[in-house]
Amino acid sequence: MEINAIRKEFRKFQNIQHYNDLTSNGINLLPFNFKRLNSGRELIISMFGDYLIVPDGTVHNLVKKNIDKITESLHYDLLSNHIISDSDNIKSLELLANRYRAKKTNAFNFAQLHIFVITLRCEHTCQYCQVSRVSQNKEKFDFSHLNLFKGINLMLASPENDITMEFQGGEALLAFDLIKDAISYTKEKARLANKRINYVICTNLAPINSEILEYCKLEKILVSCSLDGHEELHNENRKRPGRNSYSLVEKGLNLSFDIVGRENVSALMTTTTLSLEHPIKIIDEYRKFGFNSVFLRPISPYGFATKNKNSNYQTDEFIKFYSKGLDYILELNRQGEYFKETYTSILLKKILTAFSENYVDLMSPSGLVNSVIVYDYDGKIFLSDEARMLAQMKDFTFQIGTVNDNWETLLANPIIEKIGDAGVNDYMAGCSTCAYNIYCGADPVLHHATQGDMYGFRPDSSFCQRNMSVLDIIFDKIDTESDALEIFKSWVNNE
Amino acid sequence: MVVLLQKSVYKLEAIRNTIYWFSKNFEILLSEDGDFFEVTSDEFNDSDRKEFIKSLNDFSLREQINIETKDVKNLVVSKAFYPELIKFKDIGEFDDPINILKRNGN
Amino acid sequence: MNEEIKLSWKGKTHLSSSELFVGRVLSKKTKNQEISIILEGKDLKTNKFELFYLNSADGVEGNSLYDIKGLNDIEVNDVISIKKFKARSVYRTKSNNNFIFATIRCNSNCLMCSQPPLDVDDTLENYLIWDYTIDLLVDSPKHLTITGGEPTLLGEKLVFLINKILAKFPDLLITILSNGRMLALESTIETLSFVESRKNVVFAIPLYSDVYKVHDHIVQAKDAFHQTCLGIHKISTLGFPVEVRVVLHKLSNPRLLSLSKFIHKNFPFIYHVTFMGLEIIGYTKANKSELIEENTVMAEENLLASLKFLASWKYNVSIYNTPLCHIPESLWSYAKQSISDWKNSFKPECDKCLIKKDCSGFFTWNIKYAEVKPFLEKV
Repeated sequence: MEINAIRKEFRKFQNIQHYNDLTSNGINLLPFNFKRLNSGRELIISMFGDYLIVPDGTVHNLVKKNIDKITESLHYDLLSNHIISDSDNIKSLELLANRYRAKKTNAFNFAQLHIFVITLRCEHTCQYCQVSRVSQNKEKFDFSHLNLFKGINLMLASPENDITMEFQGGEALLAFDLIKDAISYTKEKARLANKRINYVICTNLAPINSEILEYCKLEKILVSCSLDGHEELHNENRKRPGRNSYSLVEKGLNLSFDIVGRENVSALMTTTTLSLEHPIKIIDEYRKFGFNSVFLRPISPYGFATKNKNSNYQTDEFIKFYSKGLDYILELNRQGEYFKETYTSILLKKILTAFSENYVDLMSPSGLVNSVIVYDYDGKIFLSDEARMLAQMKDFTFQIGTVNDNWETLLANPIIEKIGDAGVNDYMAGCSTCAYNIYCGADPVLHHATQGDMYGFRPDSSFCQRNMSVLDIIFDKIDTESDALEIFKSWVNNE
Repeated sequence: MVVLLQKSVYKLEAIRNTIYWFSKNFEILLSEDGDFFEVTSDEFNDSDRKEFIKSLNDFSLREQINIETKDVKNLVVSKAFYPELIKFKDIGEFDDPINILKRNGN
Repeated sequence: MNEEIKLSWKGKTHLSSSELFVGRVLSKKTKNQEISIILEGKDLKTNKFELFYLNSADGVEGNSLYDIKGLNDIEVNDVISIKKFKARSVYRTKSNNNFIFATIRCNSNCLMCSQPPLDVDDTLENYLIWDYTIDLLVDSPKHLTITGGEPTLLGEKLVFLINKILAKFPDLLITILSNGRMLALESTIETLSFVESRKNVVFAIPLYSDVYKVHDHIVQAKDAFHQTCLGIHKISTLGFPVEVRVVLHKLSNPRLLSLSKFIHKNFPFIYHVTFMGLEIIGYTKANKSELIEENTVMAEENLLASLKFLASWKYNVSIYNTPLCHIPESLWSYAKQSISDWKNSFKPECDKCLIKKDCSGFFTWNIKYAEVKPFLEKV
């Protein structure tokens, strides 16, 4: 008797109204923020990075619970994107916690990028260089073997099992023998520690030759070079005796493509005031060499950059440069050529997928320590490349120790706790109310360098201005250029 | 120019957030007078005032969203970083009629 | 031309018949159009090993069913269960996809359920049948699907069966068709954590909408959407691959693309997304007007957009049980042959079709509702 009654009730077909959670209390908001688009529409971004472009007045209706002013289709989209809940008790809490954790996986990692400044020697005198220029003869500006092996031991003692070991300089290849020693030492120890190491050498390509490249091929080393743009611009930015940096890069690139293969060669540009006049030419230069991406990077205000007037520029000018470049790149894509802007792609991954991206400057909690560690030629250890550049100007705030320390000591350095606070944008002034919070990061080092305060006053922050402008441009295009979204997607899902 | 903002309409947090961003280009003073907040800036013209109010309205909306959702936000962040410390209730009913019967002691 | 295969038989029995017998086919003899089959197995109640006889004509003394039609589909080494006067196919050696029928119980009540639930506790009996069947299996099945009702209602018995069969056949792939709801419970996850080779077990879980009440309405269970979504997360965390299944009908078609985007954002780890044609059998017949799609143009457009979206993000996507003449040519690469060979059928007109051999055909019970457009010219 009992079972029949239960059964009957359980198995009776109900209509959709029976499953409605909406009560007289109205809809409930989930954490989200919003921005107004130029078109007049509103951009809503949930705490988890889901975005929705909605009609003007929607946010006001949501806050005032005017559910009758919201169409069923919009209501469903808002539910689907975790912006509202019909039920008073939020039934998706645990799912949402998982979504949030996916955006913050960086916080659970330790540094995966270990940068070794193998030498300070360099024969270029690039105007924006943050490294002390030291001539070729001073052997005391190379990493000593003892310190190098201590640094490598530290790297291999850290918890991550997939590590990238990057050699920088000065000009790293001037210390090629030292690099070879470093790699053979690392290989042996990494095998025992069961770690996988990827190697990268950053070079201006002037010293490159077949012997070096054959070695790179053998050890599967990625070659990362500097290419600032067309010949005139490149040589002006990157002076060297003979004024022929560009032709050496050209020669070096072609040789590298031949020996290690295109997929193992990448190029990075640095922007100067001169660069800002030539976005199209720079992009065309990259296309000429067969690259299908360019990283339109602003220069960090560290080292020689601040001393050299030519590198002084306004963020506004950079944004104009970036915008022109992006428009040109989108046009190329429309004509069937796959070409992407790297910084945009990093942000797009955060916008279009459930994941975050492993790029130091766009992490919150900050990517210092969680993402990168820098071992300087003299054995000092810094929290990031920029932190080391500050040290060039005698500011050692972000040095955590030397290769003679162990991790316990290094991580106990008080600066780590300080950046733990200043490196999280969720609750910082200016950031906590920003719609782009979930896509952005924090940069305690930059703010310390430019404003004397790790937290930074956002309205004056070049970091904030740049990210906000780039994101504004991205969402404006998604909103108003009908094919922009598909092109943007292709930059993220073709990895 | 002085902008008078009724305390019953505009909350201090929203006003502060708006001033934070405007202080890049303007010198702004904030004071109270009875039922009103007073936002004073010698450099404001009519167009600036309009922009300020627009921005303030948006920050007010954000503040209201924040007040309503900060508990959920804290729960989500806590669960994300300390999954073992927080357990949520099971969502609704899972049983079929046989299990319902067993539950009721049959 | 009906290619349906017989899976259950009724016969007459003598008084001394076994209560619940499970056995493997030892021999199959045909004489003068009459078939006689000998099974070797055990009575699950008494645990006695014995023989059982199935005859299309007269019976013999002892355990037997006689006067049975349609014995021809039975092969040597098949496993059959017999209860009172009914015989049921448990395992077919010739099939590419065998089913472990876990239970007829279910905690949902889907509008389009093809196997309507009964509130009868058959979990122990089904467990005992399969516990013994695993012993009887000679060669590894090619693929095994655990279905029901709702298999997770078997509790730890489900884990026993899975571990037992994977211990015997370590390369076997198993798919569990589950509504995923109980996977939101810590207790279920705790139980399933005892499955040893998790990578061999795929959970195929239906999700019909990105909107909670649309999904709940389709599966006729309150909070099912939230339970299933969380269940997908938790079962994935344990290391089981997860497949999301969407049955295409009037209630799920309108927001198909939104559902695809929801999957991409919330289940990016998903192993496979499958879109399935509607089976007009079981509950579907009672809910025809709500389920059978009328706006086929919109439905096809949405399916195309959804497949394009998911494929562009590199998800593994398939369409099942929808004939090629019902799918735009641009989507043919996603269409897979039916996974249930015993459910396949074609209409007589299909014989003329040039691409019949690549087509999944129809669900047998859909045939009378189906329209076909055979491809007579080279495509």
